[in-house]
Amino acid sequence: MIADLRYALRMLIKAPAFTFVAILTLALGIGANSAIFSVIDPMLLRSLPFPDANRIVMIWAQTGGGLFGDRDVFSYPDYVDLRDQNRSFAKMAAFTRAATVLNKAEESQALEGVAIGPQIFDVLGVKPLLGRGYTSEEDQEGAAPVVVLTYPFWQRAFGGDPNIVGQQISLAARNYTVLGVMPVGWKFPVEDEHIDYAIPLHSLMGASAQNRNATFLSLVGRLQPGVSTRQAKAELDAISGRLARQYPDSNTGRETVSVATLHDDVVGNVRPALLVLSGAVVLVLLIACANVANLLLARAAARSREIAIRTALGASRAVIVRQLLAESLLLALVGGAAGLLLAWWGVDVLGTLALQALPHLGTIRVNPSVCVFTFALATASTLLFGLLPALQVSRPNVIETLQQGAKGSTGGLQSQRLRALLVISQVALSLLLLSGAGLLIKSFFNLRATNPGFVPDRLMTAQITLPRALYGQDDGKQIRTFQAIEAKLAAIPGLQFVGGVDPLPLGGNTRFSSFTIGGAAPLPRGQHPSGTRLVVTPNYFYTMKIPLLRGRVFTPNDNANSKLVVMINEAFARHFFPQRDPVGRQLLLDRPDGQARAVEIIGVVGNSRHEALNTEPGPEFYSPLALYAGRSLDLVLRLATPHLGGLDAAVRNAVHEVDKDLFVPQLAPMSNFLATQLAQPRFNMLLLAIFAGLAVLLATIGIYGVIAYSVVQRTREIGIRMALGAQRRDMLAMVLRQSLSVVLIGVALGLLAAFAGTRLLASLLYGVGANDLLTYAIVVFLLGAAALLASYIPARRATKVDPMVALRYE
Amino acid sequence: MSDPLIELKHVERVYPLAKQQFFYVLRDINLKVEEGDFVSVMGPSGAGKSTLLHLLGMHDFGWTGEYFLSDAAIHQLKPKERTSLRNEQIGFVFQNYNLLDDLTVYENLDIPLSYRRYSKSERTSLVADTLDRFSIVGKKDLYPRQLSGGQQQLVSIARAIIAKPKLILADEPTGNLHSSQADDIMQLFKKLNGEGITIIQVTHSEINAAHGNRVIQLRDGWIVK
Ligand SMILES: Nc1ncnc2c1ncn2[C@@H]1O[C@H](COP(=O)(O)OP(=O)(O)OP(=O)(O)O)[C@@H](O)[C@H]1O
Ligand SMILES: [Mg+2]
Repeated sequence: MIADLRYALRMLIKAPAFTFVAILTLALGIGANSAIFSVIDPMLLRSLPFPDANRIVMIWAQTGGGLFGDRDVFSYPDYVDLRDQNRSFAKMAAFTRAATVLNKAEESQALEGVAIGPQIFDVLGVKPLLGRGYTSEEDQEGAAPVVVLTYPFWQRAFGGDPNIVGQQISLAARNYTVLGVMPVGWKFPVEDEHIDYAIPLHSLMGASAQNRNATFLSLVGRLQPGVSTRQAKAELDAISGRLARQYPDSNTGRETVSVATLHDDVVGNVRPALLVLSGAVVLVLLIACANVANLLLARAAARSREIAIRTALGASRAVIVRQLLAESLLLALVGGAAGLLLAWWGVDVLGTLALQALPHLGTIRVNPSVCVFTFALATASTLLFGLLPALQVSRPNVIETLQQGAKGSTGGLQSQRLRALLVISQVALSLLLLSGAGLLIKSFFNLRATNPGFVPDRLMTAQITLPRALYGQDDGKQIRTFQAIEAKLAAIPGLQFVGGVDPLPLGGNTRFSSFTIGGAAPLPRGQHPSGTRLVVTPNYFYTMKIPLLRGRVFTPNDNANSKLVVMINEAFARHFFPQRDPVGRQLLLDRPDGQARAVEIIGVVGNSRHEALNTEPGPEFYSPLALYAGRSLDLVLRLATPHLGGLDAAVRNAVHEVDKDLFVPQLAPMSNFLATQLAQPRFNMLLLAIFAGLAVLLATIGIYGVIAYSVVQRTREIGIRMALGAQRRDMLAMVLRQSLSVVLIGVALGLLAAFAGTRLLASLLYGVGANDLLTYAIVVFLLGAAALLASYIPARRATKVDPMVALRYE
Repeated sequence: MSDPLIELKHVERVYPLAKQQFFYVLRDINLKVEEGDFVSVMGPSGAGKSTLLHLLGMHDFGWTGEYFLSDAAIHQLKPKERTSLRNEQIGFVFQNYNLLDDLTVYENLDIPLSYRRYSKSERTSLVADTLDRFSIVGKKDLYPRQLSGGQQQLVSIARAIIAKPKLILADEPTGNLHSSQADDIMQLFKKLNGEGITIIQVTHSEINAAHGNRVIQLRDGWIVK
């Protein structure tokens, strides 16, 4: 074997052009796979960094489709019932995301965290690195505030202070005792970019703890050993069914749950895209292998004499195949190494692209497992591109080859067919990839061109949260504070409008509320329709430039002392008041206490997209801030000019004039939130486009190689034909016809594959069907043009054949 | 008397060898061939016989001098015009037949027609006639490698005359054949010549040359007789 490799090395060095092209081709094919593997590995292949991670599951209420998808969160009482009545779970924890501000002497900083029950330490099976986790006693209404820090936060904010446990830190103006620090890599929810702390669930719960209508908790649990997700679901379904019968007002329509492993839950969204991309890189590698196989066939034809002589001298077929495969293996290994270099460089770009597009599981980089994968793939691809040519060439045909060789063979018909077959498959595969890329590009631009319903330019936002420690549950104080802040901000020169909204459109939060239409037949509460609910200040619509379609917008006079009012969006009007004027009609808004509050619709505004850019706006209603303040409000500022220097400082000062203890985060342009919406489609589109481009490039090189080689092989034939009367353009046409027929077959097969294959893309498309004819037409045209160019260059060479020289071959 | 079919005046063919060095393959060739002639070109190896034939067959344009073919001044024609003139007037027979391996006898015969202005039906009937005339109808679906050397040369001559040329150029047409096969070919040439086709063949054999009415001796690029 060593001898084989040494000889192979000599043969490869002797043909540097061939070797270079083959290695470059393989490097591109293998490198693309390594790069995608570095993404797939942490996302899909590696299990989460918890012991027995496949027993950790997420539980969602199944609300049976409806207007807003089918996954819902739970109320605390439901959680307690599910937790205490099941036998499938070893532990079950409820959580909700939390955010706060770390007050430090120098400067405050915004933190992301989770409010979660003490069971989480058992559910995930990870104990704190320092100190301890909290207990059920510490997770009680009124218990002293405690906090557990994550490792990165401990490092960042406290320099890894080993004496942190037992110290007090101030979060949102309230002192918390640090109980422990979690080990490196512990993060929950796992998909978040960073989580700084965990606090007991009850510290966020307040009155919702008793309210079955207040659904805001996600559930995560650890299954008992040997219990499947299906068994767990069956048991929880039974419990949910009982709860729905027991509490029809709140639980009707929530009779079943979904149970999926935490891992599936987190990557479920991106899995289709990642699978499509892995499929794409495999196709790219296949195309690359076809290219190299073609090169090897061409080369082997030139070496057929050497091989025939070796056979005549007694080499068995196996020995010759082994020798040829040794050369292929060497090519693949060097190509793999070069591919790894390409991947190493590409992974940086991937990582940046993935930042907003993918869940944050592990880091995307070239690690040892990527190297092992690359090595294995290179070895496997040896068989893919090397075996066929080796078998083809080593066929024992000594006499014919030697005789043919003597008079300048025209090249075996069979290897010619094989080469055509390879090009056909390359063309078909590139067309498949190109169609996919075309569809994603079109989707992306459709999405980017989607009107969000408001005007995002010159719009800045910042979220102000009033610390509970200072504001408690005092609605009046909260409302007054926000109104004062809005008034102060409105006085900043250079701002056209200032408004407030909760939650911010496209900010990742949506809040649903159920209601009934005034005058409609009564329904059990669980069957009340629901809509997205936003709380806004009167100037919100002007600031966002959301058009008023009917009626009027809120004024400062719409407050608790006047008639109770509400505004709705167009979708709401269409859905609940078809062909009727909704203005002046009544809505009965369900309240947490089971009562309903009658409000009058005063206006209809245009739809704007809140949940996601690619989601059609559903029914929404707006309530005035003066009636329903929460502790958090997103300020929206419309700038008069594209840029306004010192705005951050001006906003901070304005807020601090109202309350100097409030934390004011940096202003974020509204366009950032739109960009986040585009991140995953952009990721998918860019990668697939790159791979499709690579595929087309490789296929073009393949076509060029095959046609160029066949022109060389047909030199004598071309000479004869010209001696018999063919014009130069006849020869040009002959060669182009040959390549065209191959390309056309490839295109036809590729279209068939695309019609079937792009269906897999369906979930990634927006505003374009999987069988979009225009996209296919463009793609076929592009590929055809590339193929034509690739064959025109060698075809011109056919016209330059000098019949004298060709015939002198005699 | 009418003009000759071919007239060469002071034709020379020079290959550059190295810097400032030239190799004269044909020197001051002056030659007339009348319509209906059967000319044999003879001479030692390297004398320039093939070169002369390719020059006459307009495969080569790197010569100087004057070449008239049926009153047309070839040396003044554009490449395209030469090709079409050649297609009209000349058929070429090679020493090693040069049939295309991947085409059947029938398809080989069809090649010259495909490059000339013939309709599909004309082509079919011309090929059928020619197969008939050369008594190779039974072989029409065979590939060249399934034929003997003599049969291959027969096909290649059939291919040369299928487009009804005035002139056949044959470079050692019997070079690869047994003497009995060679004799058959010469008989065929004689018959074609009898039908009015002018023939110029290169040959090493006095016996073959004897079938013609004229011999041209080439030596080191000069016509010596
Ligand atoms: N492209 C070329 N470059 C240089 N010299 C050439 C070239 N083609 C032919 N010659 C030379 O011209 C001379 C005449 O060649 P040609 O083929 O015409 O000879 P020939 O008389 O047909 O010989 P033979 O009987 O062996 O076929 C030879 O010496 C040959 O080496
Ligand atoms: Mg010769």
